[in-house]
Amino acid sequence: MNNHLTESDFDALLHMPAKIEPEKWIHLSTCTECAQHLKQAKTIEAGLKSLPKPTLGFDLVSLVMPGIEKLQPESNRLAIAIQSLIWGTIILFITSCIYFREYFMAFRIEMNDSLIPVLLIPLVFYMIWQAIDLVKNYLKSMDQLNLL
Amino acid sequence: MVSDLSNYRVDTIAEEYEMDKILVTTILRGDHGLFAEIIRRSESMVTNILCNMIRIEEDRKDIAQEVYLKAFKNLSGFKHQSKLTTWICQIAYNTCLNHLAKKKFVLLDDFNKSQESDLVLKQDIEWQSSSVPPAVSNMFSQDLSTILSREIKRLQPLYQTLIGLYHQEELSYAEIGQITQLPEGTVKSYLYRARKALKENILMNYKAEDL
Repeated sequence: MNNHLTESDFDALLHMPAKIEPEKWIHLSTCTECAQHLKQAKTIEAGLKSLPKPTLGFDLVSLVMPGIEKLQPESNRLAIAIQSLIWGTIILFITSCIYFREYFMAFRIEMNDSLIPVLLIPLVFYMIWQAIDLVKNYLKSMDQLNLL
Repeated sequence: MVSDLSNYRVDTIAEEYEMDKILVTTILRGDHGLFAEIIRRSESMVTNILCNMIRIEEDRKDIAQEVYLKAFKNLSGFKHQSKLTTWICQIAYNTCLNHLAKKKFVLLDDFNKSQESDLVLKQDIEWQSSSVPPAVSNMFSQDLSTILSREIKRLQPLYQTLIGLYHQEELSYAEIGQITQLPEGTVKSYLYRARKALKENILMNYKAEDL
């Protein structure tokens, strides 16, 4: 009866030795043929690990970076567009409120002097919050980078 | 300083994830120069994938450029669910697949049939379109490294890639699975087949003493 170890046994011996049944270890210790087979497998394994890594023959950084410098990541462009839209709307709204204040008053729309600050205060707070957030993020990134 | 990032060493996976977050955030804020650091970090693995999957050297240059431009453009889409290098390798692998598909190359002839494959191997088919001539030198001893390099090049591109990523880049089965979008079991199975085919080819073409 042929009790020799199989190819998958040898592979498991090299990569998952814990999964090998005890009887296979016993066989290995007595069978010179299997021991020789394992030795070859180990040699190939060691050879694979020590193979020189392939090279492209050109410098990737100098190849890629000029193209990158011309581009902007998608999100950056989108973020800039959204930020511009938000700030534009806020500024337009504040200017309109100030400019048309007399108009609102003349037509006695339910808006009086106290209503405008009520509308403006949240906007001002929002702008301050945004500005603080920007500075905070910037400082955080700088802080992280300095820590490195 | 941003330039300090290139000198920063990551020792644990958690540190690497943290580093990835800093790199991505900083680049998305406009420091594009820092993308060079991402290239340096992933260079070895991407090179391995390109060299194993793409035979023509001129094509590798175009593909390498395409890979990193894609990565840069889609950096905001990176969800930090894997390492940044793994994500870039995934882009590289997919770009190579697309290139091979355009050129009508076969990555692995039983690729689709073997998704649920186990460790039972029926046959290993040698990559017929290999440009490397079969090794005939069994007359004298050769450097093992030369023998292995030659024989690896005769394997199918997917097998070559898996061997490169596992043995040379020392990636885990899980990471290779993420890159190739193959289940971990399939990666193990393919690696087993690749090593078996490699060993058989070597034993067929060389004297045992060469090993």
